[in-house]
Amino acid sequence: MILSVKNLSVNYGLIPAVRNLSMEVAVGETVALIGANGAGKTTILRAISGLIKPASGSVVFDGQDIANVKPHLIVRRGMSHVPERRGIFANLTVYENLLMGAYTRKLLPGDLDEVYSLFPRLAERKKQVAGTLSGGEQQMLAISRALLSRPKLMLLDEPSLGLAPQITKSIFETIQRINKSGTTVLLVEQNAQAALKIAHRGYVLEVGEITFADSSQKLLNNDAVKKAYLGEH
Amino acid sequence: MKVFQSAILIAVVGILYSVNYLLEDMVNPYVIRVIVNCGIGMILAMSLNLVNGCAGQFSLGHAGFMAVGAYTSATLTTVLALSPFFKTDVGVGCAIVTGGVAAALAGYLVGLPSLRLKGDYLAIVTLGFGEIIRIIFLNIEDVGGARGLPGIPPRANFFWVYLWVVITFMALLRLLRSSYGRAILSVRENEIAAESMGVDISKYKIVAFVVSSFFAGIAGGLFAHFQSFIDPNSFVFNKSVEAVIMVVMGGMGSLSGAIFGGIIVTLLPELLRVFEQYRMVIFPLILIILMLVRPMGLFGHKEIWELFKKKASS
Repeated sequence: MILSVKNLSVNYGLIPAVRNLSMEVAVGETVALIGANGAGKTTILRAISGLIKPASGSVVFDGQDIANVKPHLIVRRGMSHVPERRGIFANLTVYENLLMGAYTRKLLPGDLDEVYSLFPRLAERKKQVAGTLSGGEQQMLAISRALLSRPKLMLLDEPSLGLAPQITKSIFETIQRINKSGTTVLLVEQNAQAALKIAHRGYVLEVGEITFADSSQKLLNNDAVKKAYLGEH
Repeated sequence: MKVFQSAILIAVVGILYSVNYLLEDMVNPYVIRVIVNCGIGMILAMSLNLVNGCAGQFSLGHAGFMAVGAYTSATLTTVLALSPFFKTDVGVGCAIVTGGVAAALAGYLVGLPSLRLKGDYLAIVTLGFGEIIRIIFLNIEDVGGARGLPGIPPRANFFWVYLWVVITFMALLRLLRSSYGRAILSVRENEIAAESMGVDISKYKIVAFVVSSFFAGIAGGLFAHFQSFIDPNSFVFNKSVEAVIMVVMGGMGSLSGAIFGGIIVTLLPELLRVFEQYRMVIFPLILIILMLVRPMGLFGHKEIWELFKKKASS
């Protein structure tokens, strides 16, 4: 297991957002965490990458408990987080954004070419200010930037947010490619269909607790899940 | 490259020195005074630009750091001057750098609340700090209290002030172009994303405050050794606001913008003296018009040379 979360609880002030949650991600997997608005998906990702402190529980990454490690140090251990709404640096150029991705290590000559071959659009726009990119391009940039820290595990928070179905599809295909080339992926999504199609396994989250955990195939065919998240009656 | 750089440095020093010589010989003291004050304004604006423009924090207490630099250096060259060395150019230079270091320490202390506070709230804390500093100096009788501190050796002339303008500009430009600088910018852009990239945002906020207040302290030291007299009223809240206007006017995060902001805010009130009592009506009016025409400041986030490059290519 590259990541195992045990009995994680997170509170915002007095209000519990996540209760006693446990989940695991194995090396090489793509795992989807799906759930409605306000279920606590983003909170879980933030607790894993250290951006918020959990109230209790443990987060073991690569054999070490990181529940109380600062976020900028967790990045150095090989986890990178693509934040909700992409979090690009809007006033910096595409190129400068990518350089920030490699902040924790020395950028090697071929690194940027690798990213540009994954998303040729970014190469065309490397001198452009990132805030002027389209939503899809910004998502490509956010993913590329996260890749440049050479993560073992990549956390993605709603990559489909605000994107046209066509673009969503191509982004998800790229995520699948990234996974196949050796990066483990933990994906948080509202778009359950798209997420489960590329994931090996999935967890279904409801108001801070996991209600289903199974292989993606089984979740896609599960009647309760279908009814609640896949828009079938 | 090293040789080339030192050659340029020697050339700059030579040019500044000769201009200084010519100025003192040929131009009346009032004009020299305005030119030197522009230089001090530039240093102040460039230093505040690092905190307000680049790191995205909001400091309203820059006059406080200036006061720390001014009083520390002036105390060394007057009250504490143990030997005639402290009246020489080199001695005064050392005193001014010491003032900068003292201001940097103060910047560290003020930077600490910036880790927990944002925007308006941070502005209020820094404002309070600036006032506290001023009132402390107002109550230390050994540095003159409300009467001020006279007899400071007037060693900071055009040459020394503009040498510091060049040093400040080069130092901040190099800082901003390094990975340190990009990390500072990323804190302004998006704190969560910066942390997710591995940037220690607390560290960089503090770095921005410390470096910025060092140069503000230098500006204060130069100011003291140019005026040869300082009192707590030289560092009132208005002075901090003036620095903020310089930065906003030039464009937040633009180093060359800060230089222009420093010149405009210092020079305009002098040029407007012909309008006599309407001067302080026309000055703000011009500021308002400038902001309406260029809402992002003169150069926005960019540097002046980037603007021209863009025009040339499009």
